[in-house]
Amino acid sequence: MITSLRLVDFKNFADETLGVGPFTVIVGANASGKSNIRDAFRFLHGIGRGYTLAEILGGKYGPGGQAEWRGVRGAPHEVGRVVRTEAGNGFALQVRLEVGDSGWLYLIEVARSAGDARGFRVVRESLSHGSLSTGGWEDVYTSHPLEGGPLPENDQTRLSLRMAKTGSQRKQGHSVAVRSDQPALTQIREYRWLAKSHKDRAQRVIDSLASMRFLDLIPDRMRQPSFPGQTMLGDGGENLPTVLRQICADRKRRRRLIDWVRALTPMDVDDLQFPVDPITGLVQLVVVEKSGRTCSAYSVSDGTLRFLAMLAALLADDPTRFYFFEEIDNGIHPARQWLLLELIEKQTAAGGVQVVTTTHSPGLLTSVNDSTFRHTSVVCRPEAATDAIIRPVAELPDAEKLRTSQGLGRLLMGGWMEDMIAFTKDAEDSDA
Amino acid sequence: MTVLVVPEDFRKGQFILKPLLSRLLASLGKPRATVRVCQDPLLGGVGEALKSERIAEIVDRYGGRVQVILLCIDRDGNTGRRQRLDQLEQQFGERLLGAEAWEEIETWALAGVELPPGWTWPDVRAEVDVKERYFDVLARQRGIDGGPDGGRSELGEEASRRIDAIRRKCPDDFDALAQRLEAIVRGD
Repeated sequence: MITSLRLVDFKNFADETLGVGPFTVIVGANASGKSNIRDAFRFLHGIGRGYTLAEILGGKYGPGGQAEWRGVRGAPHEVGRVVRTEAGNGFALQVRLEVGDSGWLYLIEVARSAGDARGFRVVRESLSHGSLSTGGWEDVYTSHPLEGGPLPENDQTRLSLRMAKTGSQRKQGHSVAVRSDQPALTQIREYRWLAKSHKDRAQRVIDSLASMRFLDLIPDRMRQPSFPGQTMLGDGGENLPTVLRQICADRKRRRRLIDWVRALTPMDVDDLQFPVDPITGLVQLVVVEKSGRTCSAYSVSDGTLRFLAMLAALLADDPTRFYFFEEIDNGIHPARQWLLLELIEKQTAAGGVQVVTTTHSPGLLTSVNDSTFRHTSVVCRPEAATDAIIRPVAELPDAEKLRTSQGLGRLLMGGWMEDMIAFTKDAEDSDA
Repeated sequence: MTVLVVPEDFRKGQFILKPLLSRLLASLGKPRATVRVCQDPLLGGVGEALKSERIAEIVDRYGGRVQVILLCIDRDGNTGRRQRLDQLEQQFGERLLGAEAWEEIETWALAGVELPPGWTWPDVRAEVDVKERYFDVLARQRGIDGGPDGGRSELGEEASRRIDAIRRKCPDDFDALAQRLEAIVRGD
């Protein structure tokens, strides 16, 4: 599970950390920087997919020239916040993962290359692994070792790493010079002579980063019939009929799915059907009400489709481990948003799935449970500042008390979180 | 210094009150004061703004973090409002300051800008419906009435550069408020 994400000079964040829980909610005004957090997670996901920096940031095209991955939003010079590293426009991301008693801390720092090409290169990278109970941590590899002497000097194309010492090594671990245009994390497995334990630890992080989804559900795509056998829900909700059909093949999960849909809508949903179009052979989605009345996906409301797609994602056989939903409440009636919350809180509490979402909904925020409240953060751009800051809402003064007496939704609507950050900052400035 | 301004309706009032109070505090020696306008959606008029329970909620929310909670309402020709503000001040202690603009907040903005030919300050000052009779007219004349602020940002900002003029022209309300804030700043 990812437990924190630190963003340094990334987009409009100077140095901020987002605490991440099973279900993490991010609130904040328009253009405060919420989507930049999504971009940071996408960057990490791109690493997990084994891409180069140019591919992560600019887009990846498969062997046939097909677009396989959309790059991170913005022009190259807009990814980094300010001129910081020697090459300028650099940024760093640090992610912490915890599984059982084990923790991983992965840091990558990227800079613009010098010269006309102005591409990107990794200038610093490290992976540490440790025990949460004993607190003993060690580098799996690092480009900036504190001990063991200097590494060979890096050039623009290579990044030197010192691997952790293994049992047979007396003084220090191997040093490796990896390509600097791709994160080392996904390169070290190519070095056959490196210890398997190092590769396994790196692979654990790669697997976590690779298992992320960024659903940006588009109702018209969800309405389209899908090709039989397609069981991967597209980022826009493509293949919804066949993904749901797969879930419904299991009687228990079908019941569960229908119970959730029934609770959400005023329709008396009795079943879902998946007729095959006799001409195209494509599978369609049809909702069946108790009265026998049927409603094709073309007539189902946007909000219901979005809810169905989220159900499809979370109730899937082998759900992704990490989902990022932008504005999760979009299209869902305020009186039913608690259901959505209930679904996600239930699924994430069971373990195995993490959800991060942004929201503008006071209703949704008012209904969050204690665990979600602890993992709710506000992103805010203080007045006259270009940088944004991230603060856990629970750490704002009296937040816990006011959550009970006035409700988080009202605090959100009244701009209380941003006010508190401004007033707290004033107090800090005065103290300074 | 931290000041929370509570207008009776933040949707329009914020555009005038924020620049005026920021500049006023700067003129009193607090150029870096943090002035925020309370955007409580439940305060949608003077009736709600003068209710103890509404103010209690705001004090509960901000009380421990701000030095001044400034409740700013329009007098609207109603001379009894000052008395109600005094009651609220007594109820909530010295952190709460009540201010009434004679007759509307827009009067303060007009006191700081150059009036069109033919308008006199005594006429503006005496007008109860100053918003409709003068402020909106001026915003229309300048072609700045189309935005969500109805011209208040521009006129509020412009007026904030002449705080002394506003204090001089509005002695009973704006200057009285300035003096109370000055006392707080001195004791700060």
